[in-house]
Amino acid sequence: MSKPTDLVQGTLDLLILKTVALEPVHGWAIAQRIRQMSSEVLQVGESALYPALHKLEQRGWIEAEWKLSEANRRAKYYSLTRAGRKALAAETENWERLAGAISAIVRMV
Amino acid sequence: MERLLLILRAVFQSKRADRELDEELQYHLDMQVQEGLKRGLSPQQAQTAAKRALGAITQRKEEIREARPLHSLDGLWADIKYGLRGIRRNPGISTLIVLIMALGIGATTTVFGWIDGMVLHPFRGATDDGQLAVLEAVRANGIEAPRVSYADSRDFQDSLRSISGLLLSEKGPASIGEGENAYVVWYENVSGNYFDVLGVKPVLGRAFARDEYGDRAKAFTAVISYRLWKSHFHADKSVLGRTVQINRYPVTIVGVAPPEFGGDFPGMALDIWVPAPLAGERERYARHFHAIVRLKPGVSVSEANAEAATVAARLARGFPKTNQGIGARIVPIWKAQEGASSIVAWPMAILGAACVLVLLIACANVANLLLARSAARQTEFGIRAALGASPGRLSRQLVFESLLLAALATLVGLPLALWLENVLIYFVPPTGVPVSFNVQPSARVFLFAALVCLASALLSGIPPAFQLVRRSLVDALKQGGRGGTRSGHAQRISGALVVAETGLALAALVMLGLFVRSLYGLENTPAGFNHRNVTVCRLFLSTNNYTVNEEQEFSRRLRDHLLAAPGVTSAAYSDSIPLGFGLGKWNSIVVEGYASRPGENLDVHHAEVSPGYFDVLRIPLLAGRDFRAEDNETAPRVMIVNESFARRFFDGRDPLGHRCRFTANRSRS
Repeated sequence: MSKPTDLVQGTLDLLILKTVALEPVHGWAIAQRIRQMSSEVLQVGESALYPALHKLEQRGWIEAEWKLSEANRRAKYYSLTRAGRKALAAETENWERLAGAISAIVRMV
Repeated sequence: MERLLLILRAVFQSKRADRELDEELQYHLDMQVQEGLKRGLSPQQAQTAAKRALGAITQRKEEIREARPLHSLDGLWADIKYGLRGIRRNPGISTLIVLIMALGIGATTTVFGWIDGMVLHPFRGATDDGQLAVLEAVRANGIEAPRVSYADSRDFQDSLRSISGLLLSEKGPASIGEGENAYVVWYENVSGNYFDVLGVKPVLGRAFARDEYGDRAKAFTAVISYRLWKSHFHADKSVLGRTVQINRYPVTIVGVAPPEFGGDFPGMALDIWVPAPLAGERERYARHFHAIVRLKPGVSVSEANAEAATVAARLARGFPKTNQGIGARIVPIWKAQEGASSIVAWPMAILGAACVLVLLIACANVANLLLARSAARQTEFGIRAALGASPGRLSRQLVFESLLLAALATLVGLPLALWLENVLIYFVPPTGVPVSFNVQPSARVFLFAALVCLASALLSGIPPAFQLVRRSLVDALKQGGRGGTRSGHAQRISGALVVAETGLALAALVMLGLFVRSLYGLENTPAGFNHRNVTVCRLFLSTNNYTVNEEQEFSRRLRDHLLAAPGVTSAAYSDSIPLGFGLGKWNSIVVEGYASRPGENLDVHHAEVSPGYFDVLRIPLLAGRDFRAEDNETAPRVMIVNESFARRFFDGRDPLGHRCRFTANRSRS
């Protein structure tokens, strides 16, 4: 299980935004998708996930709605807001710049 | 907009948000269990694994809650509950703290209530009294005679563009009724716009009508105080239109003033207002009116003051005979020379400072007690920190606890303050005039008390909270486990508090010592007369329309009667008493054989006294003789002077037999 300190600061937010951007999805599924999409490299613990989700919700980047899940139970589905879409674009660009810079340095050696 | 909705939701649905969070996490837990089962774990194992994974999040629930907007409100109820619990658990210390703070808050609120009522807002019942100010005459020679004449006031009213109104008043004793049923009240001769300028509306009847005042007034009318209406007229509504004898003039009552209104003289409760007879008021030197102005909105007192000075200078140029050397100033009510406000302003400021000092000492004391208590509670805080309470949350709770204590102290202190307010009556010396101070509990005073409560809570709650935040919580748990010894940091804060407390207490003690010393000194200052076994009675003969001769005759006969009474060894009468209130009489004097310097101030105070006056007050006569009954109106006029007069005007020569002249009337010694 990776703790938020193990991830680069702010990356968890980006991962959540990206996951939620595709379709409305609940907390459990977000954790699962991040794990699957990263081929089991990134594991998001619930103790990091839920505080992050609630922070993003308060910031107005994602919004939540209670819906019936595939298991036929009430679950809290998160989806991206207009502001969240803008933030995602900005964060993505930011990340690409950062990752590019880091890999440039790493390859030089 | 969305954000606003979220905030509103957070405020009203924090319970629901908590429930939803639990449901969300429960869903996660269940999914985790299913996942475990899929991977081939036993239901038991899957449950345990999922719970372990999720266990970590209970610690972070607080973090999630803190992400909510206004989550502080959320914790408010919890803080109140914890605070009350903390207070209940230490009833002894809590009671002590509440009593100490109640004393400080009560005393401070009382004194600031006095300052508010006596100095800042002395005109009870007046509308928007912040725009009222006093117009005073200023004399170049420094004699305090602030009154203005009707003629001058007309010019001020017409010329001053910074004022919207100017009222005149002149107070004095009046007898109301006739014969056996007559008694003395205080009345005011006022200009017709008096009630308009003060913004006072009679509760019954009306103020003066246009033809009832001014140069061509036809009728004598009066507005009476609510107090007089109740005591003398039994609150009878048919009092309007009734004619009563005031100073033996028939006067028709046209209105009753509001209950809170007591006139425009700070510290006095007046009972009757009548339009001043202005027909004879032509002379500019007839300065006997108290003048109050209403400033136009937005005009400051200093602007009006500057304008008044230029108008006075113009009058001095235009009427040099009467106005030379006489300026004018406009000052706030509490700075006016006449009235109690200016007398009490300084003592009140000192008293206020002393009370603030006492409050600070109380706060330091309380802070120390709270600190001691929070040291004893380190285990509790350590455990709560381990359960996820942030240091901010914990210190907020401490501040909140002291806020609760201060609120309780205010609840105790306010009735104390309301009771103490009336103690003021006992400080007022008997002067023979109806004394009244505007010390009614007002919204301002309550607001002040609330502010004092808040300030004292913060002052006394911050040091312990500060200490808590500065220390590592793990430390707290470790130390708390060892039985709650106080850390070095707590001891440093506590030491600083003790130093501050001792310093403040010392300052208060020194202040008190100086006060007592001065008071003792005052008590033992030789006043030049002996008041032991002397009683004073004040008579208002003018209220009977006596002539000067009738007054003299009355006084002489009264003295004879008193001297014949058993137990009376001596008796005398005078138009003023030494060290009494009031400005006294003064006049310019010319002394035979004394060469005055050009521009020298030759004003001296004087009193008219009866034979035996010096004997009654045990004032020794160093030379010459006392007055005799033969020194009456027909005899050559004589006077007795004091030592400083003799030193100043005779410089070692014998003053006996020399002649002096008052500028108004002749006298000889």
